[in-house]
Amino acid sequence: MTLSESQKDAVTELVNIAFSRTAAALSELTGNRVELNVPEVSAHPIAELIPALGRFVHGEVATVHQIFGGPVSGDAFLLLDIDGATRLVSLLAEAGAPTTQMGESAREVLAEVGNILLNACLGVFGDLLEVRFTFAVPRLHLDSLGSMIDSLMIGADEIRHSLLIGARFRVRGSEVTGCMVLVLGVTSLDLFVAAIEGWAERATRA
Amino acid sequence: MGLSRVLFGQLDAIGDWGLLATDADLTVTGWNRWLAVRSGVPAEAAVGRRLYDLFPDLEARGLDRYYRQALGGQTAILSQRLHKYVLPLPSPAADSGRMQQSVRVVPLVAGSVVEGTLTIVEDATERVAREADLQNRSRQQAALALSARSALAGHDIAAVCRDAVGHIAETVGADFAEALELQTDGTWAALAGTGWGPDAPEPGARGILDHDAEVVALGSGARADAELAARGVTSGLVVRIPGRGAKPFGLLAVYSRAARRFTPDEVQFARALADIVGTAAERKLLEGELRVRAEALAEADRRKDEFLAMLAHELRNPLAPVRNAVQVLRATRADDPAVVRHADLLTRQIGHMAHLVDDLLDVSRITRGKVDLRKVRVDLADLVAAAVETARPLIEARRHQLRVSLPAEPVLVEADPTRITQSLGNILTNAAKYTEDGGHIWVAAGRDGAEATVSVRDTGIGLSPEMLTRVFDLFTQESRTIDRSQGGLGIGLTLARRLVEMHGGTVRAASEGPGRGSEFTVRLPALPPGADRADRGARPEPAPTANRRLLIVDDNIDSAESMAELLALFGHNVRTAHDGRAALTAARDLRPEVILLDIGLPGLDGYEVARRIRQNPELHSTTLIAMTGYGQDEDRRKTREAGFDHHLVKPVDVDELCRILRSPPAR
Repeated sequence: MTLSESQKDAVTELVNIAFSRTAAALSELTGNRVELNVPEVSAHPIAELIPALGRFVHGEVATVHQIFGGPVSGDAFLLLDIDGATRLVSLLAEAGAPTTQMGESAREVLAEVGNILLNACLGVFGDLLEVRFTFAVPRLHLDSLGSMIDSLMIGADEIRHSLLIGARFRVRGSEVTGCMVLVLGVTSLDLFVAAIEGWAERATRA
Repeated sequence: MGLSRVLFGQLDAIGDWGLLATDADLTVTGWNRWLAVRSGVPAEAAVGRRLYDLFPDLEARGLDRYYRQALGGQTAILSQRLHKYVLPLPSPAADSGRMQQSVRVVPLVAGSVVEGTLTIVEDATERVAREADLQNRSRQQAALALSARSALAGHDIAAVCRDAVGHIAETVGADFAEALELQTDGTWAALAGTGWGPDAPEPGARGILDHDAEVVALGSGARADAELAARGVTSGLVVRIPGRGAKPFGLLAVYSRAARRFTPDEVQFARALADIVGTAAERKLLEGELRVRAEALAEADRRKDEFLAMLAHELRNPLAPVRNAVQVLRATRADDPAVVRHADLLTRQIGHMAHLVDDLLDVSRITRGKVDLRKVRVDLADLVAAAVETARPLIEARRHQLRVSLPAEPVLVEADPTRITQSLGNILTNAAKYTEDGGHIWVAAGRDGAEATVSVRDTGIGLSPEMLTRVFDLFTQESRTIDRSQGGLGIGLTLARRLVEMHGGTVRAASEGPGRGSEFTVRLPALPPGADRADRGARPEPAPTANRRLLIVDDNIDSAESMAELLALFGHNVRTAHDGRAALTAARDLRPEVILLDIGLPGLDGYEVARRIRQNPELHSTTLIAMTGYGQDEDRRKTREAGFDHHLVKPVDVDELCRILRSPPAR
């Protein structure tokens, strides 16, 4: 499915609000100023996700994966390429590079950062859309992009769609590029888009 | 409560962790034994209390946010890196401090309602220490690698020390670091330092490292000296930089304002770094010594060359009068067979000696790059014939059978005939010398493609494989296996090869081994077949001998008088003079047609005498002949500029002199 221009505007607006809280959470955590660019939003069938992701991340990626449930359920991912993840972790905690051999500390830092970003974002979605999410414990994967996407397609009994939110943010003058992906079943996506439209309508009326 | 007692017990059983359950009001509902043991607070005392009452600083440290997040249905991960600890529990390690923790705060959800939170606390103290340890080691290794690279790159020792000091201060995390060098008077001189700012402490009297100690830890036992104490140093680590023998090269030290202990790893690291600095210092020292030695050797070599040149020159001078005297004897007593026989013997031996002296002089000229080639187009066969002639006396004396085969067609080369004849002559003489009497020598000349070749083969003593590689080295001789010494200086073959190489050619030696004879092959670039023999013009016929008025000027009285006597025998009217002024007087009185003038005269030298003679119009037509030990182009140019007409190299070849005397006057 594709998003109509007005739907895309509504999602972008929503994501903007969510990300500003995300940035605030990161700033508070690290004591550093965090600047966020306006996120780019697009929707893709999952089979077409990889080329779209290529605009933000390449090759080996660090992924924080969080499954969420409720009326709208699915998988939320924060993807950073290894360079970006390395830079982010070293900027935040000087915990060394998060490679496949990386120390537990660096992995933990990345998981916490992913957790904060995903929760801040999904929390805002939940609050504004008046949808209640429940969350599983986030997990960190260090994989190639392809194998991560493959794991999403296996066992999917319905066509799944993804909402891709590309983001660039700067911490202490260094740019880190990454993206957030929400993968939803058709039903969940319909519900999600409907909720967004409802919110946009309410917001316009207000 | 959100978590049943059974489930809480099961969770407690499966992991080594602390479990703290609360209800939605954050009142503690579960407190496992792990927490009770580590906090010292029993479950009875904890359960039922509000979380923030139990841990009042949670809110102050902003950690309440994570509980709110959990109550909102979201799991929170708290990384040890970003929050050293969540619950203030004592450290399990021996030293004081807090337990490092990694924590999850999970919402307890029933249906879609959050009923409470569960905090899972893991002790990360050991893991953190291990990771820090690993990180330190990898930093130390990187620092060692960088220091080793700087040492291997051959940087000067101060630069290596600057690197080492920077690395040790950064890696160990100290306030100051320095590298000092032990002076011969027992005081210290600073090589590098960091952290001091503009006010580095005076190292002169640093008494912190006993010469015998490898490592000293300041603060435990040893104390900082006054200079260090004045800068607030309370602890430090000092290691010796090894030097030659028992005496250290210097010391490498790190100091901290804070009291601290250095781990065995850090001590090991500092010692490794000091070893690198010590090795670099030793290497620099050796390099310096090597350079001095190389310079001394080069200087000695240059002096040796100069000495050889001087020796050869000085040996040559006495030969001229002896040769003249022999010629006089032979001419005046030609009817006495004994005199003639002995005169011939003397001539041969003088020739042999002159040859040796010439070789010596040539070698020293070649090593000093002072040989000029006068190349002309010449037939290889002529060169071989001339060389055979020079060696013939020895070949005949040793009763060798000599076979010479020359090419049917001329093989032209562009060469200095004197030098190539000399080379081939040396090789032939060598063959004659090192072959038992009555042996065979074959000489074959020819063309091989673009090269002219001459091979000299003999049935002589041959060469061992080891000798084959050294036979052309200066002053090398085959060990004297034949009963008597073969004489010579071991320079003939060196000279032969160097002269051929100056012509762009090669000389190779081959032998099947000692006693199997040897073969030397000379190769020279040949001109294409059919090239013009342009340089071989017909020589003008000598004019009939005329009796001339001659003045011979030489401060070597024997030389002058013997030459005068010899030339008088040929019918010339000869006078002698032995210094410059006497020469000028004699020239004015005698008005000689020819003056033979030595250059190295006392007082006025030969150049000056020549110039003054040339200024005298009455002597304008006099032929001036220079006699000198020096025959380089530069020497010839100087005599020509002074006004000489001819340039003869001592010992003067009487035939050549006679030819000049027979030829028409130069002016």
